[in-house]
Amino acid sequence: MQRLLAILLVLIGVIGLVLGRLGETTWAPATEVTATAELADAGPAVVIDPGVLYIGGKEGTVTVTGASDVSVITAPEGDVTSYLDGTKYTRITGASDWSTLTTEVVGADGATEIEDPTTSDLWRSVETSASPVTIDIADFAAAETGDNEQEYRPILLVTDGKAAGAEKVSITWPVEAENRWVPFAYAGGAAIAVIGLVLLVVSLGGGRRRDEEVEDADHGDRADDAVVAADPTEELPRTEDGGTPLAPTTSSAAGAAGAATAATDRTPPTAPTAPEAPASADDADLWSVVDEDQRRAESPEEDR
Amino acid sequence: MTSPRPRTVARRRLVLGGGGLALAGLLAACAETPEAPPAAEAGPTLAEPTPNTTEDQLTTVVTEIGAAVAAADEARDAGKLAPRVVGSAAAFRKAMYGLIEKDDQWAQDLTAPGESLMVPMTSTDAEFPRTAIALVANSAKDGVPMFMALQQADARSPYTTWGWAQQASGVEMPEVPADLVGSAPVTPDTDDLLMTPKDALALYAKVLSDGDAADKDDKLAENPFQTETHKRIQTERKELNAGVEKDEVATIKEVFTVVEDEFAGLRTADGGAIVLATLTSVRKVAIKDGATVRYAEDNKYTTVIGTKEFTKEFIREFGTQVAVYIPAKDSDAQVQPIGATQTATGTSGS
Repeated sequence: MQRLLAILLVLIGVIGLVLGRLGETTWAPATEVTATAELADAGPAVVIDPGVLYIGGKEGTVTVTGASDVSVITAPEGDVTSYLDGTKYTRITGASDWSTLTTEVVGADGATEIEDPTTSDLWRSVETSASPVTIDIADFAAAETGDNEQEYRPILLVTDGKAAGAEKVSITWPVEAENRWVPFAYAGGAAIAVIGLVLLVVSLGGGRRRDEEVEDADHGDRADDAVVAADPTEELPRTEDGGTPLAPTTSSAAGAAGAATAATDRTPPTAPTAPEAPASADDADLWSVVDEDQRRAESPEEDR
Repeated sequence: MTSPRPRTVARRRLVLGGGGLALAGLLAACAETPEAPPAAEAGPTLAEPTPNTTEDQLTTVVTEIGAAVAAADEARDAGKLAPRVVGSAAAFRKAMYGLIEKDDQWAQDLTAPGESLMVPMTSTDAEFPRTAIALVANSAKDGVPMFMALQQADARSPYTTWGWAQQASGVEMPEVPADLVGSAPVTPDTDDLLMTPKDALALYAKVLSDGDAADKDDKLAENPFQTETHKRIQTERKELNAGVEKDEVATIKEVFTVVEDEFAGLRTADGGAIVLATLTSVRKVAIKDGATVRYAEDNKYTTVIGTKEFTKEFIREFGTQVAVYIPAKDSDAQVQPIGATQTATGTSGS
């Protein structure tokens, strides 16, 4: 029963450890989140509002997909707004959840083309690359924090001024979420497993000791039997009338000595012989003792 | 020993499997769910407005202007000045190319800004039109730097210049705010200066035209351009009337006029302002009846006019871009012209 309980505890402990590992890997929360805006008919410009990049922290990546080369333009918000006045464009204003960027179309009835949108004197920086274009949020943040502290800047996305400024914008932020129960699963599982193992070792050790005790007990019985056989005078039954004891049947020295004594006192010793049929009722009792001893020696397991 | 019955085994498996799934579901449900995204923040609010244009942006503008002027001068084609060089600068250049076409000596009078930005003065006003003033290198080797007026009409327009004024030598220059700080713009009517820019420019034009007598309150400081202009006129006046009574043969007078729609002004570090403007002037030699003015040899004016002899008048037209420092209202200092570049735009006579 103890051993069964130990094995059960070890199993529970292992399950706890496995659950902890699963909670850390398979069931672990995502290490990053990506919010996306699929832009249909965005207009010739897309503006990521100031601060939207930092909703999930100042690290991560913005990925912009456009029909052709995409220009990433930075400028103060007022400049971008003034530049796009009278033009249809799409603003990315925030995130409704961690997978969706919210958008707003501005100037729906405005112009749908911008002439040479990358050459304005308003632009602080213009970087044109093949689609998809990525923007490192940490690098972008560094340009407007610290010594360069300023109001957050928007990002203006344009292509050729005719096609959509962007077709898809995704912002990916790293997250540090983790399952809070994982440490408890590890700790609890390990503790239960250790307890189970200890219990298992104890139960195995106890069983072995019991076997040894039984063995020891068996050996002690046989030794006692030997003594009994060696000194039959103490145990041998006597006649009720205190008559002459029967001759010993062993060949031990003590027996021999006794026999010699007896022979001196009574009758000459008789050489021991293999037991055959009991000579008398007293002989039969003696032989039965010998037989039981032999039986134990031959089948020790049955006595346990 | 007996084996467990199949139904018992199945029940155990069902219990174990179901329990495992329930536990897994429970643990998965315990997984942290992120909070809803916050609203986008606008970032820090700055105590002071920042320049609307950076030094890098102005460098690009100045470089393109310098390149455009160089290309136009080389081709003698004012069309190459667009789109960066506009207004009086383009008009004066076009006129000068016309004079050069008639007499190549005029080419020596072409002064041009270089492509290097030396000191930017940027406006902190986000509204349009926007103003900037740049001290730029002279295109000539060891040439004196020039103040260049830069303006952006609207968000879709590029920065353009309507003129540049060569820095005056021997004049103390006002301190300007750092480019990262920027300057507030001033208008022609800004009244917290020693005088409004409009009045200061009018005074300067009047003094240039009429001499120091026009500045009764002595508000205007001496300056090299005024001195040289008056000196040239007085020298010519003496030459015209050499050997006769005063102005007996001819009178000479140059009248300066402020061009109203070309103005750029930004605050200096001491609360004053640097303003740039365009003046036009006409220098007229009026010949007395019966008198004749005859030049012994052709000069670049007579070559253009086609005669060395005048009996009625001899007219020269100029365009001048000036830079003037106007102190703050409570200052004891004078209005100080700090730069000027004059360009001949035409001549005529009979």
